[in-house]
Amino acid sequence: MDYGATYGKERLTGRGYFTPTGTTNITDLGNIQMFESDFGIKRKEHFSARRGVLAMDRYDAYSSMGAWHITVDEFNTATLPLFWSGTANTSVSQTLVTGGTFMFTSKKGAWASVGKYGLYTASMTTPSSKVEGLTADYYIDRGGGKVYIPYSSTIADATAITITYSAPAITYDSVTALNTLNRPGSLELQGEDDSQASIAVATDAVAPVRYVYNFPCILSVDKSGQYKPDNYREAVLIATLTAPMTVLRLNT
Amino acid sequence: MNEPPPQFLAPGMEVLVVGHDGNAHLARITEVFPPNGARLESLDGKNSAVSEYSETNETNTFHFPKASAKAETQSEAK
Repeated sequence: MDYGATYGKERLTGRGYFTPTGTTNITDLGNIQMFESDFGIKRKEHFSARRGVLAMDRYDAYSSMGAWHITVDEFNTATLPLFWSGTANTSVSQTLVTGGTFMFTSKKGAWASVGKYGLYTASMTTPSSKVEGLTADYYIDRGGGKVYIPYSSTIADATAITITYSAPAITYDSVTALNTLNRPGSLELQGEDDSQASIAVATDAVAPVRYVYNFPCILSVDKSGQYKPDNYREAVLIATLTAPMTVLRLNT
Repeated sequence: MNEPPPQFLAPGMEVLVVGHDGNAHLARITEVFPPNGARLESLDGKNSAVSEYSETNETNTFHFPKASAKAETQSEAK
């Protein structure tokens, strides 16, 4: 590829495939919003000293600390342990409940936890004829499985309450977080360009990836990323090189 | 506050919880809220409660099953 070539200008999306040490099973890192290689260069200055004046005459790089920072924003079962620096547990299941009951003792201003999630067909059956509402007798947070007795409730404290409800069969992925801070393995990062033409001629031909980076590394992550309603959560994986990296760039 | 339970509370223990019908229903402890509270679940998982230990038989309290008179007699005979 020579100067002036269209694809000398790069606007790439990324893909990442991580193979943990000791297995051949690959984990796709999912959607990558941004990836960059930080060379971690350290330099040392040298000064010539003549007649009372110092002037730098060398400023040499003498070490590198290669690390990729990979911003990901797709969270699924396969990547959950990676993004929480942990290990996967057996998934947690909630069995179907139809017409179940939950009994607790009332206290105004306090919540009680049903211990199930996604409640439906839910109401207070004992005492009877009570009205639901945040400013009424009781309030049920169906998604989170909690029951609240407002201060304005006509239900006295220390009353035995029964909520009758149904709950769906659901499954939660589970990981134990922060018990695997360093995850050794090898990573294949790819840079793709969607505007690039395919090279082969076939109905299913697509452009080959433009960059391929292969390197042994240790994968780690510093933060979960921010949960907020006005943006998509992102986490930054850090892949620190443990041996020299090979860079492949598509030529022809 | 109720009297402390006569034995240590732990998940998996089977207890009797007093319902609105005044009867004691078999349930299993799934979570302990020290010193005397527990989350209970019926053996089929359909019904649950957050209750306090008590021997008073008040609604929404739980206690431990008593050994049968026959069992106590056999125990004394040994």
